[in-house]
Amino acid sequence: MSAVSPAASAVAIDDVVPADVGLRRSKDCVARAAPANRGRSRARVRRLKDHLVAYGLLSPAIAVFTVFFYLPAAYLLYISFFHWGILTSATQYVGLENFRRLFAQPLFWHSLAITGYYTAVMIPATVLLALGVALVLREAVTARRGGVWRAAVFLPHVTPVVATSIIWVWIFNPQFGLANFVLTSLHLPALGWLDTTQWALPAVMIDGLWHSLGLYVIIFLAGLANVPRDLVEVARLDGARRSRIFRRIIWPLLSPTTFFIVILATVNSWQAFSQIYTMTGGPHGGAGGPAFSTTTDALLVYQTAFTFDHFSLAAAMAFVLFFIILALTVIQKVIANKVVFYR
Amino acid sequence: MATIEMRGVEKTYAGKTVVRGIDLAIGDGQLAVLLGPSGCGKTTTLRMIAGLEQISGGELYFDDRLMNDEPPERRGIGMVFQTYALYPHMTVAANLAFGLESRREPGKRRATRAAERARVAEIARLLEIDHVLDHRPRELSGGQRQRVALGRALIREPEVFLLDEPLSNLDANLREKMRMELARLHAELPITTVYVTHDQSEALTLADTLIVMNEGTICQAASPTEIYDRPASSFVAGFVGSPGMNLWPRPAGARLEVGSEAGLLLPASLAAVCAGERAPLTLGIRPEHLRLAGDTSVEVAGVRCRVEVVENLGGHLLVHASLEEKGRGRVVAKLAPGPQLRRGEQILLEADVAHVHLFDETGARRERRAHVAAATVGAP
Repeated sequence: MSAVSPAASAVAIDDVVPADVGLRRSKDCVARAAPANRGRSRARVRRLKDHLVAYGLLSPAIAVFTVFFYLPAAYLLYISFFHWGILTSATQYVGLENFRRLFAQPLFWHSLAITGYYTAVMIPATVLLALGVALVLREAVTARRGGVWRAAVFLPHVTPVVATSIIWVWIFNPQFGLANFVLTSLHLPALGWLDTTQWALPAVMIDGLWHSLGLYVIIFLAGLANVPRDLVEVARLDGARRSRIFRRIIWPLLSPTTFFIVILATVNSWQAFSQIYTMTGGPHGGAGGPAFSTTTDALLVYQTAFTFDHFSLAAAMAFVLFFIILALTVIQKVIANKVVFYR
Repeated sequence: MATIEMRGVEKTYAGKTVVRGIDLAIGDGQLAVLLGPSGCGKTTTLRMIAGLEQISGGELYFDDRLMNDEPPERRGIGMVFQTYALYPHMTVAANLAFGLESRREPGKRRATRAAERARVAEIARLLEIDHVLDHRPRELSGGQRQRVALGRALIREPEVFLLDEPLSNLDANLREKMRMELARLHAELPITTVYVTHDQSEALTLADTLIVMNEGTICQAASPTEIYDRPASSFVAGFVGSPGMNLWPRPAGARLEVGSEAGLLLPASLAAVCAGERAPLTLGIRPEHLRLAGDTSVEVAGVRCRVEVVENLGGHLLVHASLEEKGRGRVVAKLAPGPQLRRGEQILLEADVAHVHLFDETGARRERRAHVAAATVGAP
């Protein structure tokens, strides 16, 4: 049955058949069309009900996201077009002035470079180390003790970053720290660590890596558990060595897990803040030092807003940071479509 | 090709023995089928042959080479897994070539690559998968995946070919077709093969030697005909055959005589044997050896029973009936189509005495003929 209305059908048929017959046939047509229309409207009502139920179930999550994410993000964008400070009540529309000031600021570009460097080191280090630990845990640890080791590896991730960073500050203390004790024990020169522009960022990276490693190891272990044992066994029977089995079988099948970890590590690296803030100055000032050598974007946003009370400038900065992370994620996704294998 | 010999092979997991002292010899080029219920140890036995499971005790030989500590890749084995275990991210051609590439000799890459391509093409032609060489496994049908798995195992010309329930993921029609394909393949490439299955029709049609396993031990290893006609134990009798053999245990010391009210009517010679035995005894008759009672000149054993269900399978009827005496169990008869049997109808099924099997209290086969002779001699 086409979408022609019952009345239209009746007129069309009356035109081509005698009146007495036409009347009867047009009535038949109307009679046939009516149930079809009723069926369509019933289907529409059913669809509407389904949608209402779906939105009803989603509404708590939508409400939480709206109140805590979307509205603040929209407000952030809004205030980036104003001259706005938390201590000053006066607001003034300035258009794109904050963005212009931001891009003209050398410190912003410096922080971008520091964040980019931090991310570029952290991603491969995270993937290699987490995968290595996951492989060791899977291969070398027996099932009975596996739980203890997995818990031990995961433990740093559930401890507060600020607390563990304070421990790392002690570890990197040039005079009394464990790091220099190990180096001197190995007859290597002691380092200034957090007191030097050369070693402050690596020290912060080590803390970040140590803190997040457990999460990535657990994700890799889950990925490895999904690689069918049959495939590894058949590859052994095919005569492949361990390295070839890893390279040709396990690694390609782990690519979705690896991709997920790369995305997660990228986002976390671009947002690195807590350990840098705690280790390089904390509330007493000087965070991001020495000489801005650990000033990442997230730290600069914080300092611009809460130290220098340039909220609107910080908002513009946060928005740029958001677009950088979004762009990186999209680029990774495009690359992943070519190299990641989904079963 | 190679012979396989297992001497007292055992497998223990955390103190629990799952394969107990297996002694087995499989001849060069033979196709041996390991048949048994789930959990009987047949797959573990196969995996020990492959080297994928460490042998806990005993010895495994290929020809006269001890294989216990030899790694899987050095055993010259091709194996097909139940799941096919095809590399999902590789094309069919890459799946087939993987084993050849893994064994390439360094320094001869260019020369071997051409030979590998030729070998892939040859095996693909043999298995009729040459038109899907560029496809990935997920783009193939179940039967095609099965062929790729076979091809990957065969491409290296293994000495021993192992198959772990290779047809269990296929539908009934395709399974039947692939079964014939496997038989054809084995005829063309007579590689020593061990085939694990719990499907009796596969086992009976493919096997040169059928090895029936239960609870980690071999119950019987013989030709399919021997196992079907002369099962070594009541377990083998009940497990092999579809439906399995009807088994009626007789308690120790119980009397079972001609025309007794027990529901089993035994001819004089057999009744004498049973009456003379004080230990428990089990009588067995295969469903196809039962027929509706009629005029007959041969000595028969009879079963008086009541029809419960009649399954019409086209070529024959499967009649499920209960023995008249309560607690005496059930009987299944495979009858030629024709009789109109109704539920609740009382019938008398009879069998040629030559097809009645006897098993002792341990379940082991009793050679009936000897006993009949003895009973006849000793009868008053």
